[in-house]
Amino acid sequence: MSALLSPILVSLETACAATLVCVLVGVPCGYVLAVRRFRGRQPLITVLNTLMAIPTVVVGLFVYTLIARRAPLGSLGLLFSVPAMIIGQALLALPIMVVLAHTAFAAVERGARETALTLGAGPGAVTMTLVREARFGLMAAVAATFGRLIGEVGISMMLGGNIAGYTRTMTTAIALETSKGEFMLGLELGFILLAIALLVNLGLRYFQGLGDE
Amino acid sequence: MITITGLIKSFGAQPVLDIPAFTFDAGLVHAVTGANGSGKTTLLRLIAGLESPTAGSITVEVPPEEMVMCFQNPYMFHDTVLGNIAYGLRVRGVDDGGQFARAAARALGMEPLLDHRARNLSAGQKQKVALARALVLKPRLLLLDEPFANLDPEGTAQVLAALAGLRASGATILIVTHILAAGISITDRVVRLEQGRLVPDAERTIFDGTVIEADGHAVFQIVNGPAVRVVTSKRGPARGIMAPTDVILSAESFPSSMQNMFKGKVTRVTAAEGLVQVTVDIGRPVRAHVTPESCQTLGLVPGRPVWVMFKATAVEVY
Repeated sequence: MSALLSPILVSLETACAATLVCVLVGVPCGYVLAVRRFRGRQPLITVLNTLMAIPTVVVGLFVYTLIARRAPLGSLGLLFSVPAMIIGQALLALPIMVVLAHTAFAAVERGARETALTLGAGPGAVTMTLVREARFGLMAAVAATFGRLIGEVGISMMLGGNIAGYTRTMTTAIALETSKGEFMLGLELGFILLAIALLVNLGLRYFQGLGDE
Repeated sequence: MITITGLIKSFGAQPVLDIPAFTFDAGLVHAVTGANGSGKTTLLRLIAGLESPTAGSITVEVPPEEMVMCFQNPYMFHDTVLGNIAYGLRVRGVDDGGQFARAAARALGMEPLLDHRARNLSAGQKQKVALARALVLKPRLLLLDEPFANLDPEGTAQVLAALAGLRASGATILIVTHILAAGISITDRVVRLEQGRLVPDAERTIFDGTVIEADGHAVFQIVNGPAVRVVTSKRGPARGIMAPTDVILSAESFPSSMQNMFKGKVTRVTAAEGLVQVTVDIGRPVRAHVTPESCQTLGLVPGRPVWVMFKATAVEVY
């Protein structure tokens, strides 16, 4: 049972923590991108859009070179640990979160901001109003970010090391079991992963539907 | 209330607005008319502080929190109608349990819709929500962009009544519109935006008075002026509006289908975009547009007696 349960828990823990980091950093960044006009804003949006498609192994390699035993941050002993996977996944999904949060804010920015301003809202109230108005788009962004991370394999493998009971995730377990010829366990994990992905997408559709109201 | 000095607003090379000096007096309802793209909305946005002037200044005598603007296509918050109307109270920290918001909704006939999602409403209903959202704050300056554009006659009447109530409280109201007729009954001053400039509306003849019944017909008794035959089902205090192109000037009276004939005296002759605008005093000034040729043939100069004629249907009564 723990062969099945442990990877599920590790996957959920890693993806949830990385998504939380993305929300804390990415939502404010998306807000600034949507509301402020500054030099280099358009090029930055283009770069972020490009980074949305970055391969997981590239992020894995990049973080590996930072936290490997002899690397600049090697003394922290992060390599092959859950925190290392969280760092890698957060870096992978941050551009997605920023771009989707930007889109969510941009959709309501002008109308909601000007209406709030002309109804006497101060700067703080305007920000609160924009977050409130963009809430469905932001929920959808969170769901999309989580969905990207729960099925991620490259970073988990390179930075986690696929250590049984410690850093073995659903995806790395499937890869290993398949290479061992243990298709049954691989399939079971695969179906659980699909079920989680389905739930995430149902949530996504639900929030998008609310936003259209 | 609003003082404009040396205002220039450009979005490209060509200035959209170029207003050397203009003042909107406090406590009045001002209507700003003009063609599409004449800069009406830009002027409102400048006054509301949503845009900055390219040059010059706009001074508004009330603090920003006592000024509210309603947009032509208002943004509805993702909330109920009640939540939308109470928004301004909420950001001001007023918690009255929705009482004020309910009263504002009732005035505009929106009470049955209070629990509906505001974004699902029709365009006209959204406009009423936006107005209720503004009125609940009892603003001293209200800026309205095309407030009658999507309203049916009943909605227009409700909005006019609500605006009249606000005016009675001493507020200043600025209405930007290309359909002047709808708001004329509560309008004190009409100005037009022409080629980026604000000019007093000197074209239409507007008169106040009372519509009475005489021999089964409607007769508009103008205050300190003549009685004019009109076509309307309305009785009582009213406002009439007449376009200058509907007024005929003649050297002599002659029988015609025109019910209104008055002998008057020319008081003013000015050029008006390829035509000549002639102001004739028939007990009160009436403005007519004639071609330069007609003006010459009739010898229209100040002091000259002339007949003024117009059909009963030429006067729109509100």
